[in-house]
Amino acid sequence: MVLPEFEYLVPTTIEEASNLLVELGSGARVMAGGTDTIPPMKDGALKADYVLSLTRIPGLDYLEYDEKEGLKIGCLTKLFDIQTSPLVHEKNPAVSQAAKYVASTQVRNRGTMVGNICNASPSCDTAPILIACDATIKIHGPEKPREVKAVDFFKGVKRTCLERGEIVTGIVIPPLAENEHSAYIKHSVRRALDLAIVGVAAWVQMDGSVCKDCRIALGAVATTPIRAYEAEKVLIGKALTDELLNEASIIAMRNCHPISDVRASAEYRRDMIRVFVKRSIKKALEGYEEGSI
Amino acid sequence: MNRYADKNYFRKPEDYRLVSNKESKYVHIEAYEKVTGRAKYAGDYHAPNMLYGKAKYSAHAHAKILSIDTSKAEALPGVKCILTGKDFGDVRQGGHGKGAGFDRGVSDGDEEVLCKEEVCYYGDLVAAVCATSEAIAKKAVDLIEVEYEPLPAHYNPLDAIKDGAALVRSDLQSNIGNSSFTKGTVKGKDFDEEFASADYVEVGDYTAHKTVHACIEPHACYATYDSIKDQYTIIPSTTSSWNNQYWLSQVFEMDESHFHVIRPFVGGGFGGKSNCAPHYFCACKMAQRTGHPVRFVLTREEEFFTMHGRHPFVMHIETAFKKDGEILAKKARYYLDGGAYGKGMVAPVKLSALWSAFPYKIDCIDFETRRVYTNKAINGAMRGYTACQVQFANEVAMNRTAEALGIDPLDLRRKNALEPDYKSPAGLVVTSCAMKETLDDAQAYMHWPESKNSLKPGEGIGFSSVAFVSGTASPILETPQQIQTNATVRVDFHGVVSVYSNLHDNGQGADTLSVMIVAEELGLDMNDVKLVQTSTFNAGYDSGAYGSRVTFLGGNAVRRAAVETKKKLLEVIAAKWSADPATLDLIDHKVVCRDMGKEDLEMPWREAVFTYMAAKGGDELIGVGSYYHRTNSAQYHGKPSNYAPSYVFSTSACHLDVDMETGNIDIHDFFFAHDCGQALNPKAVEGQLEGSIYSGIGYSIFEEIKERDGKIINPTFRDYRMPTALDMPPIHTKYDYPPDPEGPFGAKECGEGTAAPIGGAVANAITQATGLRISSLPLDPERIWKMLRDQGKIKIYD
Repeated sequence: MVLPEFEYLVPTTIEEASNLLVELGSGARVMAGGTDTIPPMKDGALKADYVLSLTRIPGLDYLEYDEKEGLKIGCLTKLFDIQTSPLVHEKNPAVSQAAKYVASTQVRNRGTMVGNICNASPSCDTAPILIACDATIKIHGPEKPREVKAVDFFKGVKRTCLERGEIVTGIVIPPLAENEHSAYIKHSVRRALDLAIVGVAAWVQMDGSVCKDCRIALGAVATTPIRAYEAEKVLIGKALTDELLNEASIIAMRNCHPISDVRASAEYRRDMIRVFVKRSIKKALEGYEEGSI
Repeated sequence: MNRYADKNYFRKPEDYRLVSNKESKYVHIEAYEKVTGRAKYAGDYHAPNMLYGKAKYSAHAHAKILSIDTSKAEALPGVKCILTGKDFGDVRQGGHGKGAGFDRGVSDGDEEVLCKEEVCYYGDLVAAVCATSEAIAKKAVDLIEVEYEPLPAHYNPLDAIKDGAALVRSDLQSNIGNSSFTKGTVKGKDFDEEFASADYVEVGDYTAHKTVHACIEPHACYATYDSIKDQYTIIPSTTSSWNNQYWLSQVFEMDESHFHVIRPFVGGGFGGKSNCAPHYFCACKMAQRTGHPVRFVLTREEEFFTMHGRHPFVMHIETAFKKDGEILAKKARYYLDGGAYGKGMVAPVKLSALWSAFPYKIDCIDFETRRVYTNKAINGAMRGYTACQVQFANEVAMNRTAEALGIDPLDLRRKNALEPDYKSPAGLVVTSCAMKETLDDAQAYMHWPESKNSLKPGEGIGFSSVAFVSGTASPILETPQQIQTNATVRVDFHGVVSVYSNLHDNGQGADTLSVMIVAEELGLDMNDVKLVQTSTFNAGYDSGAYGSRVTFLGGNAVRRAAVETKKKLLEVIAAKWSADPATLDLIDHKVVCRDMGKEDLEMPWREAVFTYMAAKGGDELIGVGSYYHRTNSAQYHGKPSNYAPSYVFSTSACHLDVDMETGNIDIHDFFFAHDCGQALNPKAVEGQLEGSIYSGIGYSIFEEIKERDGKIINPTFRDYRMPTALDMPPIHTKYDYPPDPEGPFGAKECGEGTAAPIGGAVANAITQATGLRISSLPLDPERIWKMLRDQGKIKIYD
């Protein structure tokens, strides 16, 4: 289809971008890689009078690791770079894995992780791992910058906590200590270029065989990615036996209420939550082999 | 006999240089253009004053049209022409044509180009617009206001055939399609007696779902009109120019000389582009009205809902066996969901019955096929036409029988397998047949049955065998001598060779085939032979790329044109040399002589052609060829009757793991043995086999059209999941089997029927892995999970 007419704006500072957004209001759309902006505009599913590209703002394309703060990902950092980065592979391979699950190589070469979460699709592939790892989302606003936890960022289908004029500038994922492990598994029909039927991320902090702390995040089973708090409670303070994992998985399943749609039924999604909660925790404990992503 | 089929001049197998040459370095002749993007497809044609066409579709599954108001659209600046049903006459189009097919002399067109009074599915066109830009055309389409009165609609064929069911279309007499082949029996022996004496009767109900062709190139056309000549020139994305020309001439009620159909590059057909799309008629009419070229390019979404797909099937099969596994008799009942129109009704009906007898020796068959109309998107031809559905059910039934009788599944197939020179009571005449060899090869590859003992839980190996047609006996349109293809080879006095063949290349390599055959017969390199971009005005008739007919029928016609060229040339040179022309040959750009004592004689190709023309008073060297299976023609007409000049046989074997919790399938090895006679072009054969497995795996596991109240709800590549490269298993193919006596250079079909055995092999492997009883396709993870749950294989938690 034909791309409708719109005004293309290319601010060169984040302040300028933010001011433009305040000025232009709801008719303006922020774009990084554009993979969730241009195609829906062509299809008529998204209307925007102004498209504001962040690509000319310096300093937003970074991928760094800080011993204290952890992995830092800029809002212009491509998913493909996150997927292939030796740094990410070393520090938190589940994040690379989550990036790799998104769409196709072509899309990942343009699309960004920040764009992926700002699109706020319930089946967003990178959200569960950010929630499980307790990542922080950095936001520039017209008044002042602020930070929110990933779990608080999502407010509904295609809705985030961003206010008028606010732009996500980066993501910070806390470092994994020796005894901390994470994993993300996406369940889909195709091995690439597919939307998740469910996606489950897990983060565990171990003390020997006992789980000191954990976070489980579920994708594609609610209007936003969600935490499986009840299931986490079952695990904390106990040795992670198969029986216990099964118990926690069933509780996670019972606490989620997915919908049926063209991609899967609610009953299948529920049971897959059961299957993938235990698989993702096992995967976290087992770790990612080198070269497996 | 055909005067041109002088087989004395055919290249002898020991002299083949290009044919069947696995070492050859050549690629498809159009590969360079395609890879560099220079190849022009219908949607690439463009002119500065060109107008863009868009169609307006029905808003209901079934409704009466009360009014159409185009005034707002007409007022939009840039809109140049708006068509509605009243701009066309009463002739309906859409089928094979009124021709020499199985229902001879019956016109099977049943679709209006633009609906006048009634719409019968969401893909029906009610109006069309052309404008100076695509955006304006789209906007104008939205401005057209149509008032409807909704009518009762049918979405399920089993409901549509109930007594008193409302009609799917008001012009129908019944919701069951009319064809003379809906019902029949083949009785070599007494049917009831055979069933009564059976040791085992396998009874099963099966279903198969709808998929679509999903060609990379959507339907598109570029049309111009010359008012001085009163001539339309149309470049359509099609695999049958002559079908397009036929229906244009019918609908416009003008003879064929007014319609010049040019064949462009085509980006995939798979059975989806044999017809003339309604948009093509609109483009022609608009070009005539406006004086501008008009182009339509369908969107992917339109491609899904307004173009035809593969028939969903409901099947009931009963097969009577002896204790030792011999098939005694078979009863088959098929219900095909046809959608709103016929699309050449006879083929799916006749073919379904044909597959029920394949690939085994069955003397007694009682079949009934009902192709039922519903108010849904149309279904018609698609790669492995009706065979993918019927042979899935057949092959699952064979495995169930093997299990029940305690016979190895491959032994059961071997016991009943068709053999060379078998003539069935159904009238089918099998000639070359390596069915048993394909079974042996699949068995050896999978180390069966020893490998069965080392399978882990959830791991399985499954086999499936099918047969398919190699071409069809019907040329579709009424033609002299029932010829199916005409081809011409022309040589100028420099020795430059041009081939005029209307074989439709939709990516399968038909153009390369034409060039290769001519080069082989004339002793030239492929680069010496030039393929002419053909049209209905500059080259002879060809029915189109469907029914696995191109290589077998078209290849034979091209070969005959080349051989006539050769014969004419050699006769002239032989006279000069006072030699017997049959001892002359064309080898490596030379005429050579094998006559005793004259072995030193030779003449370069260019000089030979010059000499020929001088001797013929300057006339060019031209050879023509045609092909129709010249045999006892009674075998194709009457009942029972034969269907194809030759048949192919294949066995596939699938080795997979099933994830018992999620239902995911991981195929780790796929073997495919295909008896395509002698492979003409080994690289292309491998490509076709791998492509068939891709499409068969897509059909069996990944792809599914989902409909709600007659509307397709997943018309995108996001939700209509075709497998990606990552989803494809490693594939091993085998295709070296004896040459067919009638096929060109011994070749038979490859690439269509080969999609048919995949579903059965996947299903049988899953059953082996899990113990599941499988009766329906597709086998996507959720469906397998549901079967595991419903058949008590896994625990489900509340």
